[in-house]
Amino acid sequence: MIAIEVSYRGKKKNLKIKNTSTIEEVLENLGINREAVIVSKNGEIVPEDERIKNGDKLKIMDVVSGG
Amino acid sequence: MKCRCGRRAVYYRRFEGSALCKKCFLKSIEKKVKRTVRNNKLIRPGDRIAFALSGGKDSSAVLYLMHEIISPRRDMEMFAITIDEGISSYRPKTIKAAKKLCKELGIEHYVFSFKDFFGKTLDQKVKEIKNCEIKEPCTYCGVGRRYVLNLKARELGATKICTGHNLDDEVQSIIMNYIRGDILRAGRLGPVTDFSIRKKHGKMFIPRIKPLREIPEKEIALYIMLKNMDISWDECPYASGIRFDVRDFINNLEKKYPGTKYTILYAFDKIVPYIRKASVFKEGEILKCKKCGEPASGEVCKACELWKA
Repeated sequence: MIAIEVSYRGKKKNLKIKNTSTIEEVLENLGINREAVIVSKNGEIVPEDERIKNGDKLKIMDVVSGG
Repeated sequence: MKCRCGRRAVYYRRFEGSALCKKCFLKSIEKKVKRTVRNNKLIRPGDRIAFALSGGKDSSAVLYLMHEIISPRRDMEMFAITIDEGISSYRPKTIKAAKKLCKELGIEHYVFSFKDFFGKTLDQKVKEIKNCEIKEPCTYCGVGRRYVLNLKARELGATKICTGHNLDDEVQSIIMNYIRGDILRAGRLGPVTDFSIRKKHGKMFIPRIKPLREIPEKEIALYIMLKNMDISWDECPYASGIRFDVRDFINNLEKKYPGTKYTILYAFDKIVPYIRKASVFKEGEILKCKKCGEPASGEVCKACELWKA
């Protein structure tokens, strides 16, 4: 298991997940559809298929905005 | 994950199986907009285009992308209109972003308010509608915005109005019209607003074009982020209604079956000509609101019915 930090809608959370996880798997774990968000890993925007490692910081940003 | 050019990928376009770096992604969006404009003949020499600019990501993106296409040309003009509905917790920030973008691009910018047109803000209207048959703020907002936009764009000499409607917006509208059983209304959707509406309303109605129609909302958001554009990401506090259920439904399908949004759009585009043929209006029949003289579907237009009653 590995530990990562996830920020979403202004809140930070520490998660423990499998060390072979992808960002998409983290999103599924949080009940978030990848179609509705863009994710940055350690400050850089990346595709959701990227794998994560211990200590990574993910920021999840909603794409839906406006009215 | 690497782009085919060798650089680090920032995005994976799932339905076509391509990983894209920042440079290739931005180029693909610009290319797609140009293709939509060209294939649907969205603009032509002599056009004076009013851009409906809210200050959010979609309208900012379309203004920026179309500015790249239009500004080098001497045979076209563009300007921006922002409608201030009077949502005090939301609109001021987006207007600020809109003003900033127009200043950066050197584009004329006009702001018109619901307060000036209807005598009240949307915040005030929302307090009243609790006792009305139609309770969704989005209905009042949408009707009001389209009314003011059409009227002012026409007064300012626009030949077209350009909106930031994206692929998600179009697909949601297609599904919503089907759920409501409003197939004839669905005939208005398309890269250029249905010209049968123009037949009905004559020159009072300014046609609308949607250059971002084939681009997913997520890709618009990514374009804005990668370009470091300073826009408003806030969501309207009144945003609600069936559209949100439809959005989640479509996104769940897209996640499971990549490309679903495109197939819904392209299939719909094939049947639109048949829907439009079914919406037949008598030549020379112009429908005008009895109260204000603006385009109407009945005796009184929706804006007068909802805002001036």
